[in-house]
Amino acid sequence: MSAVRTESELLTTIVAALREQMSAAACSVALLDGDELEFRAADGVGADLVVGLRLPVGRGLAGYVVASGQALAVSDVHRDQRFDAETAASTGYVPTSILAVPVEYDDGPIGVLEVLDRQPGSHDLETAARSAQQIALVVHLARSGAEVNAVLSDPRLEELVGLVQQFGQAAEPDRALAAALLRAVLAHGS
Amino acid sequence: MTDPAESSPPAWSEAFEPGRLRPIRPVRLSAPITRTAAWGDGLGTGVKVAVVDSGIDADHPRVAGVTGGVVVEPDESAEGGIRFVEGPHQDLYGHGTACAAIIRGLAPACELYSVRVLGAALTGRSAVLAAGIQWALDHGMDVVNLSLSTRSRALLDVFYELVDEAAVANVMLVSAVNNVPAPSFPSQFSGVFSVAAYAGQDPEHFVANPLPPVEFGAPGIDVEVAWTDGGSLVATGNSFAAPHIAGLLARIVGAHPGITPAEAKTLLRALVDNQ
Repeated sequence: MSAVRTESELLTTIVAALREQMSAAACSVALLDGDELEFRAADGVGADLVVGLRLPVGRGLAGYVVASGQALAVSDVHRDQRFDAETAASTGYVPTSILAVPVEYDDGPIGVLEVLDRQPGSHDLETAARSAQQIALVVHLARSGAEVNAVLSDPRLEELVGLVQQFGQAAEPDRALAAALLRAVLAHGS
Repeated sequence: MTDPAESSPPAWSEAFEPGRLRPIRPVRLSAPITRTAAWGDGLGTGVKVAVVDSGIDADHPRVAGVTGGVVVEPDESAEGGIRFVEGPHQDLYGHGTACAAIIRGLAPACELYSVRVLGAALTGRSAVLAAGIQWALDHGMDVVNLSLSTRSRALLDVFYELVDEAAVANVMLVSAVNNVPAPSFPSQFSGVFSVAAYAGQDPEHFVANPLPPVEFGAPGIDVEVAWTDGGSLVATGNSFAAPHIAGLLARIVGAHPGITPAEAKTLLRALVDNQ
C-alpha cells in the first residue's frame, strides 16, 4: 500500500470518528500546499465533492485559522458576507456553524481541521484539537515514510538495500560476523 | 445557531468555568478602587490602541474609523526580510475587525491602529508577528492587542525582549492565549496581560485567574462580533476575550496617562467579579 493511500485512509478514519463523536454534518481536513489549502480527507455531507478542492490561504475562516494558528468556532456562518458560498455550494452543503482548528507540527501550521454543524458539547475545541494532533502525526509519519521509500527505491542504493535485507534475514552467528566485518571496514576507512 | 448554554470554552478557560472559579485577593486599600476611579469617563480619549491582526475594516459601523496602520509582510528584498507598508488596507479575514470593534465599543474615543501581520504568505509568521509588535512600540502605541500567538520557540528571545521593551515603555501588551492546550508566545510571558475566554456576556465584566499563566477571563464564548462587509458573526475563541481587556486598558490609560502596566494590572484586579 502506498504512503499516500495510507495517509488518506488514516485521515479519513480520524475525521469520520470526530464527525461521529460530535454528531456533526461533516468533517474535513485540508493541508497546506504552498499558499493553498487542499482538502485531503472528509466525512459526511459533501465529502466526495470536497476532497481535492483547493482554496487560497489568504481568505476564509480556514485561511484565517491556518494563518493565525488560532482555533475558532462560528455559529452563524451565513452572516459573514464574504463567506465562500461558492465553495460551500460546490460541495452541495452550506453550513450554519463551523469549528476550525489548526493542524500544527513542529511549531508550524500544516493544515486545518473543520467540523460543520456539530451538536455543541463541552470542550469541543479541545476535542477537535486532539484530532488535529493525531492528523499532524499521521501526516508527519506518512511524509517520513515517503522519504524512506524514496531512498530505498534509489537505484544507486540497490546493492546496499539488498545487503541490509540479507543481513536482517541472517542467522545470529552470521549477523555478528557481518557486523564485526562492517565495523572493521568502517574503522579502516576512517 | 448553537445554544449558548451548551457552547464549549476554548482551552485554558477551565479556571473560569462556573463552580471552578476561585476568588482572588486583590490589594485592600482604605478606600476601594471603583470603576469610576479606574477608568474615569470610560472613553479612552486619545489613547493609541494597535490591533495586531488581519487588518481592520475602517468603514465597519462598529469600528467607526481607524487612525492609521501598516501592513507587515515578508519581502526577501527588504532589510531584515520584512516590508512595512503604511497606510489604509483591508481586513483579509474579518478577525481584526472583530477585535477592533470590541475595543471601540469599550473605549469609543481611542485611536485605533491596524497592524496587519496575517496574510496569504505563511513563511516567517513569527518574525512578521514580532516585527508588527516592534512597529507598535516604535510608533507610540499605549495598548497593543494580540489576539494571536505563536507556538514556535525559534524567536523566544526576540519576544522576550519585546515584552520587556513594552513594559519599560508603559505599553500594555494584551495577549490571547492559544485556543488549544499548548504554550504559546508571547502570551506565556508574565509581562503581558494574558487573557482567555469565559462565559460572561457583559463587556465590562471580567474575572481573574488565581492560578496563572492565564491571568484574566473576559467574554469570548458565543459573543456577537463585527466581521467583514459591515456584518457580524457569533463566535467563540480566546481571540475575542483579549480585546475586551485591551478596551478596558484603553479606558484606564485615558484616565491615568503614564500609568505603568503593573499599576494598570492592579486596577484591573481590583475590579474583577471573582473577589
